[in-house]
Amino acid sequence: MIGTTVSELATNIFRYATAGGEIRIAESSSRKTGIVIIAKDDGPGIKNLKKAMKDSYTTTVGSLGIGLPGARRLMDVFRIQSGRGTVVTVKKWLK
Amino acid sequence: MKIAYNCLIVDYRDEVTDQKVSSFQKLVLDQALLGNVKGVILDVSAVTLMDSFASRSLLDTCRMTNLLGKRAIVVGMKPAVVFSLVDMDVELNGVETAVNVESAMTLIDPPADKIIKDIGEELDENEDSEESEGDEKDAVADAAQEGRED
Repeated sequence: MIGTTVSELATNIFRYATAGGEIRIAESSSRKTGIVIIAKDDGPGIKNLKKAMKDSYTTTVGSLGIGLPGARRLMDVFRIQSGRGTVVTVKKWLK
Repeated sequence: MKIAYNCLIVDYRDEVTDQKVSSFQKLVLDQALLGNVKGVILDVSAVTLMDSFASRSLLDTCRMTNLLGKRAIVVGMKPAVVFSLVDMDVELNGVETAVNVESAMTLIDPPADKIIKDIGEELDENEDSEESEGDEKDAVADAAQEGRED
């Protein structure tokens, strides 16, 4: 699940953020034990976040368009900020 | 990739899920068209991570194989992979799966004794259905006769 999520986020950076980006994986520092993944890029940003979070929406030919919504379903916490560049923060608690 | 008991067995690995996908698919399809190949078994037991891109390429390979007129069966999905696919809500309708390579082989190219057993059962079923069809025909004939009498 963690691997799949990282892969989805990395695919997005590779596809859309031409300027490049980074992914950081760390232990969650809050009261619950878990893992935090932060995917950050300096790309053009996502124009329509609402659409991007919907299933089957994609701007790439041959893509399923479930990367972001899929990652949200896989993780416990999902936060996305996009303007100039995009930051996706996800958390998964240790059960 | 190897052929055994009329099945093309393809080992899917994590490395396949990159840009080499289309050349890999072409290789699979070329092999699948060889005369004695009845079906393709896609063994994903070595795949530890499946994202939407990887699942899409696997799904496409299955559909391409089906379009060639050959059966495609995915075997050996790991629980972690299954969890991810279902949690992400990946559409995998129409993908045939089996527990392992051996059971997929039996599905694609059943051993002779199983064929004989299945045919036997089929014949039994046909006999039953023929009887009921006969009854229906009689009913139709009766109705037609009644109509004429009126």
